[in-house]
Amino acid sequence: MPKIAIDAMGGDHAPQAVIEGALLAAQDFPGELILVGDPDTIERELARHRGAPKFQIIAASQMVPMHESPSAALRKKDSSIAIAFELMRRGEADAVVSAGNSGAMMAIGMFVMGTLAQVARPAILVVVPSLDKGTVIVDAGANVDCKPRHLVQFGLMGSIYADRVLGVPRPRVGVLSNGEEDSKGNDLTRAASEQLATTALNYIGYVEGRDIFNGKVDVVVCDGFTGNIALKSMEGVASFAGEVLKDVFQRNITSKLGYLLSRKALSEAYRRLDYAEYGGAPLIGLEGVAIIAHGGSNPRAIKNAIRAARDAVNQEMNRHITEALSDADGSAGARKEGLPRKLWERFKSKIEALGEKTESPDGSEERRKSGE
Amino acid sequence: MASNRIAFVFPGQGSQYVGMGKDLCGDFGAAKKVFAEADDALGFSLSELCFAGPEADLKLTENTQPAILTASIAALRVLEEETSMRPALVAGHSLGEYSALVAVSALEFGDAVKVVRERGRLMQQAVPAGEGAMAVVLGLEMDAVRALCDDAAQSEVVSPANFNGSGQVVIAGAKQAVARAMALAKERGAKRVVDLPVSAPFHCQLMQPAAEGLKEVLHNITVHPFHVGVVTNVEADVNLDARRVKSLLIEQAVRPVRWEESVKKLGALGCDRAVEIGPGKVLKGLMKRIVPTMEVDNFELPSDISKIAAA
Repeated sequence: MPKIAIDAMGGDHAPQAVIEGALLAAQDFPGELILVGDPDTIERELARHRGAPKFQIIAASQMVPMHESPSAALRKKDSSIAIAFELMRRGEADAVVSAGNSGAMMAIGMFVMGTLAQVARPAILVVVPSLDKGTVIVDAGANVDCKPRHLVQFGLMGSIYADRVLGVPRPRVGVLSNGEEDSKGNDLTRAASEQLATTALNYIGYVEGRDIFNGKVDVVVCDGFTGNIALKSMEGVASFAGEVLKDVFQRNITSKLGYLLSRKALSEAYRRLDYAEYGGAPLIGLEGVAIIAHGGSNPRAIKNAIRAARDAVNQEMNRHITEALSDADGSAGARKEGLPRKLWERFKSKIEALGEKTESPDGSEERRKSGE
Repeated sequence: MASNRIAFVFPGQGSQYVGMGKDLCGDFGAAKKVFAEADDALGFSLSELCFAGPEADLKLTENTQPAILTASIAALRVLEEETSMRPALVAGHSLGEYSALVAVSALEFGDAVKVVRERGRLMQQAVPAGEGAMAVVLGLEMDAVRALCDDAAQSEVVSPANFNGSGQVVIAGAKQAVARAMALAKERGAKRVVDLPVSAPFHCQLMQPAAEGLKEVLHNITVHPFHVGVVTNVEADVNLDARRVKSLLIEQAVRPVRWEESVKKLGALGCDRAVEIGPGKVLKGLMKRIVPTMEVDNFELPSDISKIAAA
């Protein structure tokens, strides 16, 4: 049963939302939860919930404000984030969950735990709603500048997460680009795409922003700059759509009646669109399991972040990543499980096709496409 | 899981020797690649200079700086490939801070090697030959050395350049002022005062023209955001802010290297182990005296791998 250290002091609505989230998690699934923070504050908050289970509380005398710089956060040796990571380092916790300062989470996580062997850069992995089990986006913001080989590793780690934690067998991996054709993209995506095609991942080529939601791809690979913009745009559209709906339904008596009738379906739709349902974002590639929950997390989002932590531990996510990366070209994981010969051939022909295209005098095709 | 919290530290000038990096390149492709990249970036065979000399050329600071950086990064890449060792924090002595920044991916190696070559050139040109000097003062406290420099200055420049720990302070400045400071140091009870055979007075105000040149050189370089903290020479504290890297490097040229405090900071933040990566063992010696409980290894030769991995 995984032991999860929760930063009780992190997030816009801490500690109330965090502690309520922990209570929800304790009701919903087994696991040992450790609350880290100011003991008095935590006790006081817990006292408001009658019949609350007995959580282990570990004291931390400092906290990291949401906008504190990573350098300043790192100097606070007794912050709730640092203590939570220390518990994991000592083996007293299997995972860390925080809705706090994500830059501080990364810095402290790197300081206390370091990366898994062979991982060049840890990344933020986010699962966004889709018509199916959700789509993984990696990197969602940790690394604004990336090399092709980093993107290849993101693809591999994202693929393992989708497979093991989300339960998507042989997840389809795509590189986020400005068009599906091989001729699109930039230097980074082209090189990453060529390299990904040679791995044993189920690589499907370029995908576009809209494909994130249509179930065409399971793991969307991009640098952290692109990923963060994509993610923030989605959040913006989601809240805008909500406002529009509210506005339309409130217009007159008929529309209000319509709202009453469709209320249940709407709340179901809202639930599926809500980031809170999808829980936190793992710092993937880090030694140990660290989950960043949205700063504005409500109790349900915290509960789901705890669930994500539990799943990552139970599914031995890190062991699978390390095994897959222990092969120099990063393709061992899937190959060991027997990659069909046909797939390799497909990859091969893909690379060859790519080579041809780059050699052919471009321009004509490019112009045609930009004219569409 | 990591049993220790490890700091990677990188040497500065003075650690160079003819033959450095040669054995690593013989045994590891990763090291060879780094030297090849340096040769490529600089447009001449730095590797030849490192492996075969002549020593007189290797000692020219515009060669020494890229050479030590390259040998250090070559060793780092081997260590990364051969072990699962990863740093919790990094630091470097003077030039070594550039190696540290490469180690955390803040600087690209190809950029860094060009920058430090220019840095060497600028530092050499900043003060005409023979006008500057450096000396080591042993057995006086930091504040005592600061005070005696002030007293010896007489409107010329002389100031502490490296606080190396355990009573070792390097001073730098104008030749006459350094000579006065050396005499004063002896008078005030220094155990030993030794003249340093250097080509220019590093880390003092006389380096201001070099700092200005460095500012221009760094202007065209990209600093990438990084996640592993660098304990800087100027502040002896952790920096994780990519936007501050350039100004800290520029300032470093005219400010003392606060090595003693930096090592103490590494210890205070929980590093109980350090690995000096690159040529020589200068830092290892210094660090063991600053924080005796810290376990310090060095990595420069293929045979060091098993020693480090076993520890």
